[in-house]
Amino acid sequence: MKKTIITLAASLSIASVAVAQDWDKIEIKTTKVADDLYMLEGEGGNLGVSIGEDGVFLIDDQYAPLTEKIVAAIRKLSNDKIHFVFNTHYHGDHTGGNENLGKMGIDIVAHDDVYKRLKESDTAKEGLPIITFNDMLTFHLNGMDIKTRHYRSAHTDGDSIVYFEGKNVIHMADIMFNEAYPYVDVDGGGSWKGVLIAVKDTLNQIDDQTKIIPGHGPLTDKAGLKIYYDVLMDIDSILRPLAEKGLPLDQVKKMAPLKKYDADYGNGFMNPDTFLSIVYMDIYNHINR
Amino acid sequence: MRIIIYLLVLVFPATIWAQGRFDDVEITATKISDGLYMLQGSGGNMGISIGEDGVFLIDDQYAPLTDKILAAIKKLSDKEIHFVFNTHYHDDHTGGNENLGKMNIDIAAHDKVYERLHSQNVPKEALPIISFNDEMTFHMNGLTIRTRFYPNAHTESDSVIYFEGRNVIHTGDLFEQSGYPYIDIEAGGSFIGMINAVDNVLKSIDDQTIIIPGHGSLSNKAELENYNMVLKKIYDELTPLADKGLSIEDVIKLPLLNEYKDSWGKGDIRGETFLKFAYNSILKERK
Repeated sequence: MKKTIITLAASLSIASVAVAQDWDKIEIKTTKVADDLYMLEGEGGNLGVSIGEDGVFLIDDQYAPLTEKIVAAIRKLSNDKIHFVFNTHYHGDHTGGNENLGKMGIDIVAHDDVYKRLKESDTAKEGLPIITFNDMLTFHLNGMDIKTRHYRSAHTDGDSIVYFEGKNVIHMADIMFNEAYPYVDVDGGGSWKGVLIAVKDTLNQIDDQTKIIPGHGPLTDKAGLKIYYDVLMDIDSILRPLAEKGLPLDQVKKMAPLKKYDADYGNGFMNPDTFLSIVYMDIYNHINR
Repeated sequence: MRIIIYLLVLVFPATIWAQGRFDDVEITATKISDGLYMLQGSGGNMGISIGEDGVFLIDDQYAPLTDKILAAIKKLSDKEIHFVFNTHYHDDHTGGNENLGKMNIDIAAHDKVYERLHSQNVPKEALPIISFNDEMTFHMNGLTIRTRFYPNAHTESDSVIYFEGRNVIHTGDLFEQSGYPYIDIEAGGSFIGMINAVDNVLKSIDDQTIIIPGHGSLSNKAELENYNMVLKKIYDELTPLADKGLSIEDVIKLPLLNEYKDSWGKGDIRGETFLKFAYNSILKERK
């Protein structure tokens, strides 16, 4: 989160200051999602954990100062070794613990673009994925297939959604900010359109019983994702005609076109003004480039 | 090589060749470049990268050879074997999987390798723990080791491994350097698919590329080009026969492949056997 805030501050020239975290106060909360499958929350992206005979499969690792707490929380569930860490994308609130875990000899896996972006930001070798892929990768572990699917240009360019097949559980990466406006990291290769495509595609892959670990926000299900999708599509239908008319951002801001959603969705990582700016400009640039 | 063993199994009880068959096999290591070697024993050629992140091993021949292979690797590196990558599912390339899997070495391969091995009810330890659908890359030992899937070629599960920056590749059994290739049509292989895959590989390499073929000796682009040229020539010879509606029985009686009698004809796969694979593949694609 810290890293994305800095990126945002730089790209939007807003005076947003990353608040120094008091890591000591953060507790890792564990929620059982299905048998041997858990969601962990601390500070940063939601973690997913599969435990079983082949070891622990961990999705994302939040920030470096939290590694010990995360490992301790996992140890309460399983004493087996952490076999793999899978990064859903490159942001620091999902990959900050990579280096610590890599130094423990744990293999990190992610999409090619996650490797590329972490390497470009001079991440220590141990913090880099040792295995990457370009489209789909499947782990055959703990008696199930854990399928990871890449979506190009959504939240970033290296997003993967993770399917725990047989358990009917998925981890949505930051393609889903549950109950909040999503962050689209355009500088990180993301796009508004790509988020819509990825969410729609995911809705087609799951059923009413599917449980969803979102990148941020509370555990949800298909109904929750459908609401999220409907809101995003409505926002798209509000903003697109304005962009087609070529209205400048300043003018659009004055119209407060998303006012009806701001109270419910504008209290997360994205405040209403930043969200509107990012999404409107992305739609605008795609139409008027 | 696999086909020969396969044929033997049909003729003799398995025990006859299982005992002693591998006793005299020696594993030889050929250095290709710093930290990169080809290992040969009995079965498909192996490739290894050694370095600070451990050993990356391509293929593992037959189960009875695992100890010898490990000993040969130990002579090159004291590091643990980090990954084994299977170029395809055939047992002369994956027979050692179970032994290595039991040593907690992670096996990686294309999705179809997993599917085929899984459907053969191999023990869990022999299965890839990680599989991919198109490309998978290992970042280790200072190298970018890219594996690329080629559908329907030697089998339906073939990958070629590119050691980028070193200009070395392992072709799996897309390239049989020492004779006629085996095309496993029952397992989704295809004659034209093989030609297309090799065409594609040729575009990704240059005159300095060192090639570890699935079988045979260390090779290069010129040899791979010649190999594909011969395959194309045979394909062009057989296609009109298929157009005329000739059966495989008719085709075998024709004086075909005579010019390769003293070259490819001396390899593990007989000309007639290859003719059957090749012609059947052409017939199958017309259906």
